[in-house]
Amino acid sequence: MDQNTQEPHTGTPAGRSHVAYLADCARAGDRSCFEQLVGMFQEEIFRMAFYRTGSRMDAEDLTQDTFMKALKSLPRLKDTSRFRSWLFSIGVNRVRDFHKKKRILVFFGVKAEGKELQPDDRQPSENPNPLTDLIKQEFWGHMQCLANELSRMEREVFLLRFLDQLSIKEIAQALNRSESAVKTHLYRSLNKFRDNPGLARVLQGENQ
Amino acid sequence: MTHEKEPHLNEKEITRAVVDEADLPAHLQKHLFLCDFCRAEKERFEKQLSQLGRMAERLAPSHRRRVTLTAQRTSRNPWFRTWRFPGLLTACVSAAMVIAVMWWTTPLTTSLEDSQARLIREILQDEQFLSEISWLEEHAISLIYFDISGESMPGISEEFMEFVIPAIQNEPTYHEMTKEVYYVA
Repeated sequence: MDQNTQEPHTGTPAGRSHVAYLADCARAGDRSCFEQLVGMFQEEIFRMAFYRTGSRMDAEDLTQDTFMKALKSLPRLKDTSRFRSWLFSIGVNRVRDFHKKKRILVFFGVKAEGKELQPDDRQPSENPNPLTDLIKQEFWGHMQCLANELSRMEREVFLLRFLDQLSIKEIAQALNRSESAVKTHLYRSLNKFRDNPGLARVLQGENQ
Repeated sequence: MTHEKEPHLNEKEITRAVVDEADLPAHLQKHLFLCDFCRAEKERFEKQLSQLGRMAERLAPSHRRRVTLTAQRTSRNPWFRTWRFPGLLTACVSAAMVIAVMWWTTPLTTSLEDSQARLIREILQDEQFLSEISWLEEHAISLIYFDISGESMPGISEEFMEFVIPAIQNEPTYHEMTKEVYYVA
């Protein structure tokens, strides 16, 4: 597994050029090409936003915001082969703005403080199976504990690498950091992940 | 084989290998290539991380609301729709309120009223003064009486002057004359 260049969702180099081709067409004004890009990436962006907010409604809003911002800013994208990392960059910034606004509302007592990686318990469960709900609760609970131990950059790099499945190169482009800085944060986050026995237990239970 | 005599990679070295195997020192890269145990450890850790990603994807909800691309806004937003407008408006309203409070609390308005009253009083006093001068002009002592009045002869007493030039009893004084004409509130 080549960690630096593989793009699991676009697959082969031919897949990567297809995204770049669609991005070129969309940049030229072809709306249908952009809609195809939306269809390809909206699930990923939604999950990215959900991992960082814990709320489906907020994640849907942020997904919509991300693509609207991408549509508006597409003429400024110079290298369309970086479309995926560029899109994630917009999404990460949108999530960051969301949390800033949320902190201000919590400060003024308008909104209650909530945990990011633990899903909103008020949302009705999609799966009626109580065991799945229990596993879900336990998993996100342990993820929240891990996130609390990581610094902001370590958390972002860890989520982008192992939950959002971005390569180190893509992470560096999305966060506008050097690859060595990304690797340093990734190394530290993995050491803390090793020290979290709860997640390991959940993953081990999943295997059985 | 020689690699079996070398110590196995520790946890931190395995972690570094998972991040990027190329960052390991050359001898560790070689050991990892040849040692089944260390390679299995690395793959186990990678599998655990891969499983973490799959589990997160499986347990995340599916989004119900699809992205809709509305009509794109024009790049030139009206000025009152810019994000800066609410801030500028707030600043202007605050400044106007501060100026209004300062205007009503400063003594400018009261001093204006005082200066007007003072001006009126001064005008009246000037008119009174001019009237006094006019009266003195009309009732000036003629030159021939200067000698008799004794102003030029300090040795002459007042009784002698009264004998020579008796005072007219019924002639009103200047103040008695002006009392009826001027009345200042």
